[in-house]
Amino acid sequence: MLLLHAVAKKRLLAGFVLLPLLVASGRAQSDLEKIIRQQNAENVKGYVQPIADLFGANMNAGFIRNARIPETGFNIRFDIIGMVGLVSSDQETYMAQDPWGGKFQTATIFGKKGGSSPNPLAPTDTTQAFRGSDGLFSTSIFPFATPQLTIGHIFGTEASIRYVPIPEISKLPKITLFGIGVRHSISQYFDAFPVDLAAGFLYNSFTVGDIISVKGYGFTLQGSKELAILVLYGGVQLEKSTLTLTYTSTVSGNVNVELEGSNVVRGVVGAGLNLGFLKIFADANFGAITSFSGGIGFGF
Amino acid sequence: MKVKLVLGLLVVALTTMGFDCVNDNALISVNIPGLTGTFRINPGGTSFDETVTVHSSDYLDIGFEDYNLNSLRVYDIRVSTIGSFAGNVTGQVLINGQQLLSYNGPWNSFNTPQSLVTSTLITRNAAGVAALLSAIRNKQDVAIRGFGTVSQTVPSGLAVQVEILAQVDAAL
Repeated sequence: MLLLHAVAKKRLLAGFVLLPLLVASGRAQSDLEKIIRQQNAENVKGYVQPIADLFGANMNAGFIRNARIPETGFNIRFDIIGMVGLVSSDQETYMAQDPWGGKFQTATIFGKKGGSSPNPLAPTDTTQAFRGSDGLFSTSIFPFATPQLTIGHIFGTEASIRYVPIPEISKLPKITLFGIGVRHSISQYFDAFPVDLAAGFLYNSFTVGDIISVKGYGFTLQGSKELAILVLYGGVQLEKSTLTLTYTSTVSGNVNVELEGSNVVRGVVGAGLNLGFLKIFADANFGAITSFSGGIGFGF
Repeated sequence: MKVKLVLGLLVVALTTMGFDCVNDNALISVNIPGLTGTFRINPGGTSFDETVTVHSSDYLDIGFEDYNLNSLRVYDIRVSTIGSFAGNVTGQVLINGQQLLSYNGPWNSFNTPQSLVTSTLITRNAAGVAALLSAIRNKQDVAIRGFGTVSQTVPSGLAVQVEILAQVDAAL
């Protein structure tokens, strides 16, 4: 009974944290689908590329933590992790293709006003120009949040899972987040090693409706040092993420494009507090995308 | 208690740190596809006059039925001929009764679609653009009338085709 109560509570907490994000993004997601349908296969890449970069960077964050992984002993921990990627100014515009074979600068999804390409026939006549859509989001950060359940330890190894299935509700499309990760202690093989070391692998996928899906994976080498309740940690992660767009364009029919996230390697530095059952942690991630992650954990 | 406080702060942060940041006045450039008319010429005849009606549900993406539409941009019109014929063709295209364009030239020149942007054989008329904007803004059907003459009697299977490429702004 107590176990059921605890599980129900965890589900409630996960839903509680994710709900504001999902509801707030619901309308934007619907508008995003509408904008995407107006783009051909070429221009949609530039318009959506920043989303691919930031989704990938966020999704692959939050995995480098305290590298002390005991060889044996049952352990379970539930984390709520928030991530934010910083939107840079060069992610606000891109060069789009116009109908006459030229290029023009216009807004990405994070841009401001869409640009126009004047018609060669009548350069001053705006009623004959070709125009890109305005940016959809006005923000300097791109957030993400996920619950994560971690279970260990066998031979100095622990496994983590992220899973959030949100069914289609009204205008909100079906959203599914799934992720798995494995970390293995390296320092267990060395006597009196000054810091804890671990290696890990993670895989994440995130699908929104029928149009957008993001998949990513990474390999990490991480280290940490415990100083009483303080944990200092850091690491390096090699990673890849791919955003797939599948939709029917109003100008070019069925479109299926894949966009690679720009983050391929990241360095992480962070700190946490071990307050017994409660953990608090935060870190900075440096790579092609600068992002931050942090959160709270419950467990041992 | 502390756990609830931390959770509360986290949720407040998630709901206020710029997540509900949709550009409320953003303009979406909406394509207006399907504004195409094919006008057949009866074999043995020297003139044609036909009207094609494009319903609003056919030219407007279903997601924009409830949006305010403005600033129509007709960025190209392409006129082409189907079939082989040695004479000339002269014609006009009307949108809901207003002239959108006129064209004149050798039939075979139009076998390669002639673009308003690059061809000297087509002339655009602002009245037709205004009529098109009015129809699209009010989500009305668009009647594309094509009429004209050819320089001599034609064999079977000939037609003139007009394709209008346009965008309109929809405000979020």
